[in-house]
Amino acid sequence: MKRKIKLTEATLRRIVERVTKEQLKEDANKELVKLFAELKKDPENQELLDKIKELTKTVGLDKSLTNKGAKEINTPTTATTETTA
Amino acid sequence: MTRDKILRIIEEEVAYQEGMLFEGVTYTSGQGYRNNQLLEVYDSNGKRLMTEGVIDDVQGILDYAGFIPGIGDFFDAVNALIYLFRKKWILGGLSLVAVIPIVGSVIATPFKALHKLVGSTLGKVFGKMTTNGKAASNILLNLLNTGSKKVRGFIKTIYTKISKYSSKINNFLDTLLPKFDSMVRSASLGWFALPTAFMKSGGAVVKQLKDFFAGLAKGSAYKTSKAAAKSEVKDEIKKLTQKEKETYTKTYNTNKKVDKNKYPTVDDFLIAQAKLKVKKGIPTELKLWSSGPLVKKLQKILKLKVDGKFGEGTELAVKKWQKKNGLVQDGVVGPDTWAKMT
Repeated sequence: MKRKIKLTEATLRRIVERVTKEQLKEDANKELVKLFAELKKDPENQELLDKIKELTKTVGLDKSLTNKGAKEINTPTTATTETTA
Repeated sequence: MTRDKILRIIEEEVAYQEGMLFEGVTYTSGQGYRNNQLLEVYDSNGKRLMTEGVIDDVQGILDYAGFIPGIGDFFDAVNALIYLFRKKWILGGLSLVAVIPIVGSVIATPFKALHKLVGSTLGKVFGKMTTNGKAASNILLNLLNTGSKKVRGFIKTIYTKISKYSSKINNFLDTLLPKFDSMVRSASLGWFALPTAFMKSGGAVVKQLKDFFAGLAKGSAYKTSKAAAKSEVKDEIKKLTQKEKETYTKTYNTNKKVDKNKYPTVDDFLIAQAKLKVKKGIPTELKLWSSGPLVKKLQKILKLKVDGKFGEGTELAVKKWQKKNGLVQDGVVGPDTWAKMT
């Protein structure tokens, strides 16, 4: 049986916040998949690496990093450049 | 974002506002819940398998993997496992069944039909699937002896297909988690992977799922031949008198309240009446203005004033009870209501 429920302001706020957050996460995930595909072709591209690091944090995937991923993400960009140079 | 995803968020938030919980979940204070969703996973002995953090990580990976081309089937299957971990049995079970290669599309339909016919039993089956696969398959196969003709037909379709392709199903289940993990690793150049805790507990669940499908594949040993089913029908219906048979057949054909999904044929309805007659020794139905000791018994069950007369008050109480127990609210104590009451 259908029942009418009156939504409170707090519930509406939570719904909007969650939908917005999920949408941002979804867009970031799409972008991340594209960036990894590009990085496969050009592994040395520092700009791509920086973007990936940033997006990984945005989507909360920094908790699911492998040792390799953690190493990449925790290496400061400048330091890497300097060492390589 | 898909419409389904938005609706799920609204559903969860409304449930949170209304203090409701999701399918099959009992709230225990202090345990891992957020937005009313179970976020910790325990095995049958109460040992904690996974924590909120691990499930969050897996969900993160799933969100990401959703956009990797060619990963769809594995993504859906892992998602179905998460539903099962979160005790959303029906949703998880049906989703998992649907994504199994080759047989999935064939057996998903009879599974869905079974859900409509015997929802609570199927809930039990899916609930046990992750902890005791063998027992889960036995519950389903036992319906071959006790279920209606239609139920037996659906189960027969399921295990015929499963018997034929059981090795392929097991192979898919074996490779499910490792393959998904390796696809995620490959697409992320080794940056991301499924958490080790999830891989371990997922492995234990996959073992039970394999037992479930292996058990179903052996189902042909059950009494299911057409001849056996026919003789069973004859034996059961013999327990009814000729007059009773005529009355019940007339009821089946004319009464719109008879559940045609549960009793697809007259024979199924007659068998149900015969079984009820033998088991309880009661008339077919108690309704408005019925009277006698059974009405007294009914009033005792409903905690009403016991006078042995089925009046309007009793009818209202029966309707309320039927509503509470998910039955058709017709105020008539028929076989279904009586069986559930006692």
